[in-house]
Amino acid sequence: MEQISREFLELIGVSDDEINDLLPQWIKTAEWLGLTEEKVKYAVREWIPRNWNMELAGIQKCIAAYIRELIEIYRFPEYKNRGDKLVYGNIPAHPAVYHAIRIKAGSKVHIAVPEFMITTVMNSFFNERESQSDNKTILNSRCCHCGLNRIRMNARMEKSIISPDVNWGWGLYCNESSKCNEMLECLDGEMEWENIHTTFPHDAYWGEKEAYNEYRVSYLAKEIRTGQERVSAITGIEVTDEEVRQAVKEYTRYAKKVDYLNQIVGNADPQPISGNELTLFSAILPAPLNFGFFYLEDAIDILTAEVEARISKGIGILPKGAPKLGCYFTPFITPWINTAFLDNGINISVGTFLAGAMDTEQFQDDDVYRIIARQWFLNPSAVNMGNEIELIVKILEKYNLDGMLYGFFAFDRWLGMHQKMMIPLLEEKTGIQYFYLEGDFWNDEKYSLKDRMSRIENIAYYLKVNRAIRVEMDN
Amino acid sequence: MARSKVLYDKDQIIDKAFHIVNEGELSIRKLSKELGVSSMTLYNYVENIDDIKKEVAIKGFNILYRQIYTTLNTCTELKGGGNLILSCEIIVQEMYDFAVQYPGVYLLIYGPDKALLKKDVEVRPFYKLFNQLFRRMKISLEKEEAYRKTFVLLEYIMHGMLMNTLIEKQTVNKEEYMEDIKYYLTHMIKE
Repeated sequence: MEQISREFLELIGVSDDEINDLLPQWIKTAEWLGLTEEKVKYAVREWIPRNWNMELAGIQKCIAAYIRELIEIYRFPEYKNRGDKLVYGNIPAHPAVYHAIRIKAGSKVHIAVPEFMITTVMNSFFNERESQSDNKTILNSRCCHCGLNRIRMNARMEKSIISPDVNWGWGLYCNESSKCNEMLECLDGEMEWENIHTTFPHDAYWGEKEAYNEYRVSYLAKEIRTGQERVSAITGIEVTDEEVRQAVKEYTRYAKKVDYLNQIVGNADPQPISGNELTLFSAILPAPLNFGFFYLEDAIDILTAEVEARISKGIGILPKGAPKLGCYFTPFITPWINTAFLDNGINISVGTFLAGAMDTEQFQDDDVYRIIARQWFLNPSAVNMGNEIELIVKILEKYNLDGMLYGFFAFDRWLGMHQKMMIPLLEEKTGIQYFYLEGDFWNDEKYSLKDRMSRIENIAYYLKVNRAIRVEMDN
Repeated sequence: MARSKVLYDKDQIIDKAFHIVNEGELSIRKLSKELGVSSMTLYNYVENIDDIKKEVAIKGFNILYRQIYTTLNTCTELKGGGNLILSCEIIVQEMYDFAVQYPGVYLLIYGPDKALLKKDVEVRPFYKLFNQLFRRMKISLEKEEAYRKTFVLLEYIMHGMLMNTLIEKQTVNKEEYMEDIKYYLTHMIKE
């Protein structure tokens, strides 16, 4: 195990100096997750090189950032034993409020969304469904909605993820997470940890620009501030507005870098990196992390320089002129989807689901929580459908896409339906053809590559035929 | 015992259903009989008959689009652009070949089941090749509208002729069909 683990850490760009420190921790983390020597070997030799562009140092460092977060989660019992505080969150949330706690208390507090990080790493880099996602205890696949709920419930029942001091759930977009914790509370009688829910009614009118509705912004800002104060009371870590402001600054800086990377990749022909690599950086935006954006920012700076070099040299993952397919949510935890499209000559390009970087810097406010609330309301997924469509159209105007891909929401009862309703409206406004793939990105057991391939091929043929005829029309 | 047979792959069901559709009427009973399994076994793999029809349509589109793309891609006269009429002719011709080779599947896709299939978000884009082409082009609204009407009518003419051939058994040979389509295209699209 030691040799292949060393190879793994080398593959993800961990420096020689650091490997000796990280190696024992990684081996224990892998064992905790049931990753055998064979499984790590498969990931190192086949899965990661097949699905991720490991030539790029920025990608290596980004994957390493995920692994560092996971190792931290493994070490949580050790931290708790020495008296540190643990704060859990959910996704999507605005990570700045969690990061502010870390800024205040440093290594005396630890932040995570354990089920998200475990599932992401296991699926993306090891092609392994996390063992906690099996139906061991409760919540079958029809009942669990988001796969993260099942992992959380199972882990709690089996006590495989240590209890936090407090769980701060953002029920603004995903209130299943909050419901799931309430359910755990009912099952347990008395919880070992405190639950805080930040919620907000979805009562905006169709098309209302929520980020500019002062009442909604103020209301949400108060809700978030109340959540922060309650976390402070439970942990004893008194977070001030200054720490929150610093955290927002770091978040905004990273979000802008993601936005810039999206723009240069999305508008380059040939496209220098794939949608998998792009989403690796953007999907983490709404996740509370232990290290904040420290390692991710280093990774994105390196990758951006590498991408700029590729663009200037005309290096692409596919030949110039290959169609580009935007993505509502590039399901990077099922990376074979992107690979299957690449194999069929299609670039998966920018994503719009978590486009949190848009206009983030324009807001100045004495109340930092109002800035957070506005940033939240600029996320297309966080607002009413009319506003969402407007925000997505604004994003798509920046790119010349051949199509948009939606789907992989079969785990949920409203997500997929919401997008299906939105598609005709977006088609009308953008003139872009939308495609949908049924599937479940938390658990691809039912929707395999083989099973989806005819659909992926159809989309690829369609886009290539369309592109070929358009060339005839344009000339 | 046929009824104890286990299916290992959904593809087996789709391939068999594709064959049945192409030859005639599809039913769960007929499909399960041909597969040598019980209807109940079949329902472990598919939700209902509409689910199977959808899969057959997806397979049909796969064959059709692959063929259109291959022909467009290998047509030397199209390299470099500027020949919209020829590219449309290729599509129309491939549609004819597909309808003749897979009449049952063509009828499933473009016949009475079309209304239901088009409601399915995974399938609907593949009905929209022509009417999406003119979008997002740097052309005047007037020209865009002209293109829209041209392609809508093209589809009506093309499928009308093919349906006549397949349903009413009025033989429209390929040369005749292509000649009529070419006449329409050259008059409607001025290059």
